[in-house]
Amino acid sequence: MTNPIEPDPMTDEAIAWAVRVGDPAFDDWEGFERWLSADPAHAAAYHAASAAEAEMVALLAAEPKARPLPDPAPAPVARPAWRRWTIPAAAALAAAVVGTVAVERQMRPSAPLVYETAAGAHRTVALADGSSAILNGATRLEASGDDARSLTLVHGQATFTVRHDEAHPFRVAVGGASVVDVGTRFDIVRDARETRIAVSEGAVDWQRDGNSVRLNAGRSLRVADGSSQVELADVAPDTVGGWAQGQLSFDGVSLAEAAADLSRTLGTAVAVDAALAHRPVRATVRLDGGAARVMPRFAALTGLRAIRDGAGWRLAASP
Amino acid sequence: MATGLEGVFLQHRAQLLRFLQSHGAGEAAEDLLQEVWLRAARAQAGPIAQPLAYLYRVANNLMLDRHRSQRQAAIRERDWSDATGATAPGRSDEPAGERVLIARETLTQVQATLAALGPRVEQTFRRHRLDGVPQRQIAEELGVSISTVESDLRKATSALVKLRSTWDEG
Repeated sequence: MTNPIEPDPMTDEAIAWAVRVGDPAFDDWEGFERWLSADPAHAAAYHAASAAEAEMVALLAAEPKARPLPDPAPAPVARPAWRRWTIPAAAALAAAVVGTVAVERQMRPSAPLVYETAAGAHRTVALADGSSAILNGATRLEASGDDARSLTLVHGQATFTVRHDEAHPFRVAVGGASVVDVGTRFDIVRDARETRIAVSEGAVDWQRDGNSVRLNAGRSLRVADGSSQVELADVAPDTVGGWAQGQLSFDGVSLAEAAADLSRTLGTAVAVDAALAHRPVRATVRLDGGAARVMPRFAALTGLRAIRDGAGWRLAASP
Repeated sequence: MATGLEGVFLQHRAQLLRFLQSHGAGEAAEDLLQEVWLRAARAQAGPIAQPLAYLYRVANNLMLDRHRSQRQAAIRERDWSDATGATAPGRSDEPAGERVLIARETLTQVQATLAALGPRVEQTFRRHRLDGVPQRQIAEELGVSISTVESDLRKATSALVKLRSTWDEG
């Protein structure tokens, strides 16, 4: 019952198929069927390998939750460069790590690291320099392979908590500009053609084409691509990055922007009637209960109606 | 709206049925094909680029789910017979409470197994299986060929399947 599976050709074949079939772009279904049909044991081997692998992936997916207890004696673990490649592994693995450092050197040093989330998902990324970023849904953040303190927010939303280092500033490239920290916790939203930044602690400099704007805690900035007009506004510092704490705050943004934030956070499409798109929204909405609870809650707070629209939602005027 | 997908489903019915049978569906194949259609129609949001590949995908997932639930049922039955006194040979009699602690240990083993394969293999596996990034894109990100990505994924999968087989469970 507990004999370890010896490496055998059929298991290897099953694993090779599991890898191929596991790619979303896989399209050789008839070839796969031919292999399965060739021997009834093939299907059993494929099912067993896939199930075992899926179980391991499920364990890994629960990684942060699986370590709820802080290490009683947090040994100062050196952060070797390769750790950039992984979600922080358990400190217990430090021994296993030693053997792998050499391999990293053979890798292309400049390949960017990409952190990506699906709509509705959150992910905390520990950066090699001790800073961290929390990614909201539908977000893509890239780190340069050479410098963990140089990031690009391609799209979506992320809240950064930065370990400040005067000599080596932390930089996020976004929408053709740079955001440079001055000791900081801040949030960036990158939509198709617009960037929004809000600062809750410390300050950041937003820099583009030699111009610079200093944003202190409690201030936010909004700029459209290519526009020379930069809008500055106040923001309640404790609401910045609130989506990571289970609430979303809207402080006078347009309903269209609020809908994009809701969509990214909830992982569902949120459409807005065109006539309402520019209406300003001031509300803080709790995010528990999923879209089915949040959308009616948001609508009630803003005097709108939330209507199911196919797989997503639509915000319309009250009757 | 569903007529496009439904058309493809009906046109390839025999082919999909054969696929389910190759998965060991046996006499349940017709029922499972119905289940494929229900799942596919339910999950459909917007037009689908490759409807036939999508239907195959749904069928494949259904068969994997079916295998998993059958296996879990078998394990439950066995655990029950263990609990009622029959100690299976080769298995330790651990109370359920201890298994929770063991879960943390197993995660450490999984992490160590992946880490031991080297950073590129680990990164490739995590990007593909945890972040859902397609293999071609990973190849571009890491500057390696797609066959390297495939071979790295085979290595990681093989090591994890092997690790799984050493754990005490049928």
